[in-house]
Amino acid sequence: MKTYRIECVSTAESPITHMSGTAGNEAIVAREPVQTPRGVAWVPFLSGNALRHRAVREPGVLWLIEQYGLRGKLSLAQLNFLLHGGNLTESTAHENTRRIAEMHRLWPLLRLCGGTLPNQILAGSLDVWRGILVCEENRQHFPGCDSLLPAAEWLSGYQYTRGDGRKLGIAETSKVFGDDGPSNLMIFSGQSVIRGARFYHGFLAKHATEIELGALLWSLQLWQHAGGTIGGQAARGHGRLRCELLAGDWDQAACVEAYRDYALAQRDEAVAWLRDCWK
Amino acid sequence: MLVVTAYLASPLAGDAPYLDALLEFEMAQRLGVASRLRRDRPLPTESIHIPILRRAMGSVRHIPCCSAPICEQRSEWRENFAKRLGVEHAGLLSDKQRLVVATGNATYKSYRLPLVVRDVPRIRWFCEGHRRPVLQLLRSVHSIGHKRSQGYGRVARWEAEMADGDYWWFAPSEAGPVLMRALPWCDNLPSRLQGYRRSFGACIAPMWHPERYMEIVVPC
Repeated sequence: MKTYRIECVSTAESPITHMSGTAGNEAIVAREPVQTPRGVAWVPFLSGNALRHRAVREPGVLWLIEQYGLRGKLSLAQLNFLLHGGNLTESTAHENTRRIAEMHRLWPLLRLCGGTLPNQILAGSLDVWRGILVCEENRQHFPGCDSLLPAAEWLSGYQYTRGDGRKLGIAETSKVFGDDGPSNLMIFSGQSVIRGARFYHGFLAKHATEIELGALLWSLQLWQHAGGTIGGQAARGHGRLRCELLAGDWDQAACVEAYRDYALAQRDEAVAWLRDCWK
Repeated sequence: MLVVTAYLASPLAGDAPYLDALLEFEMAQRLGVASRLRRDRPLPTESIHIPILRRAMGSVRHIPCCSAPICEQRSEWRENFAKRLGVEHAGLLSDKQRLVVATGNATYKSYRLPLVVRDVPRIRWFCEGHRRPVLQLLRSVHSIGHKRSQGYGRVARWEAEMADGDYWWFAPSEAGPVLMRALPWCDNLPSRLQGYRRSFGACIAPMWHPERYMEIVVPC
């Protein structure tokens, strides 16, 4: 077991709209204050929480659900646990160390991501870093880069329209809006980080085995294969990231293959563990 | 005096820990006793050995000679972290489980919670300890504060260097000694103590255990 540090640079292949809120009808991209020689600048970033779910937990767990034949067989609590970490709902919490040890053995991905059973917290071992925009304001994180554009150069906006269904001539307008009713057209807009922007981020798998490292790497591959999206407006093509892993002292293909083989070999026991948690 | 510095590579959520508490937790994990330290159980009678000097004040023994964290804070703001039930995956549910789910309350309530976050490039602690063992223990501390799994409080590097003075409990000032860490409220405190307020809590790790609670003074 060792601590693996996986560093990545992800390049935006479509506008990134990782929002922090709205101002009227406009979506505001998430920003953080960065101290610069010219004062505080608010620079877009990607939250670790979002990366943790979209890049690691969701793709990895969905693959396991398919491989373990659990599609159409999960309870709501099991779905919530696997995909979102679950909730602590019982008042008498206790520590079932055997259950924890079995989870570590049977579900390497969950050992990384952790979760919560109704009466017990299962701590994870994965730290997901936030994504730092590669720009002039964040120069302190990229000492070897000569020329960096300011963050403002990487920002733009978008505007879309939700059409008025009446104009299609399909709906019976007299029953819905009336002939002189208000238009149903809605314009919505927001800020976005433009294509070509790069984000530096990473993962720290603490005291992990090669199998668990393989689980993380496999999740990242699945995430990329499904478009590598982060943030909102993915249905309109936003949020695509092309993730490149910086060099590390591991054989990625071997780790991934070892994890896949291991996960498939644990299928029956893993499913039995899951069912046992909600007896 | 040893000056330990943590250089952070990401914003800090919550408060920075006491260095002695951090070292005790790391040592407890190495000794295999961390899982036995629980709120509902009495603490072991022997304190966990850390490479920091301990002294007594009043009737309280084994108080580490280590200051509270000193944060060089540049700005403070609020971020949010959110969670929602992914109903787009409803097809994964068994037929009997495809129910109407309340997401405004109860178990599957969606939330978007605020988190106060600070831009703290450096955190310093003054202590009386051994440099090499302290750095060895800190080598496995990659992040501090709250929500570390989401990337907050990431430590870029640890540094420890020797310096003159002994500011781990009190720092000198013209008005009188300035309190530098939580200490027991007792008659042994300096008479002209500055920069403190009374509180009820712990001054020895583990700070969260009820057995450690007592009348204390904390820096303010």
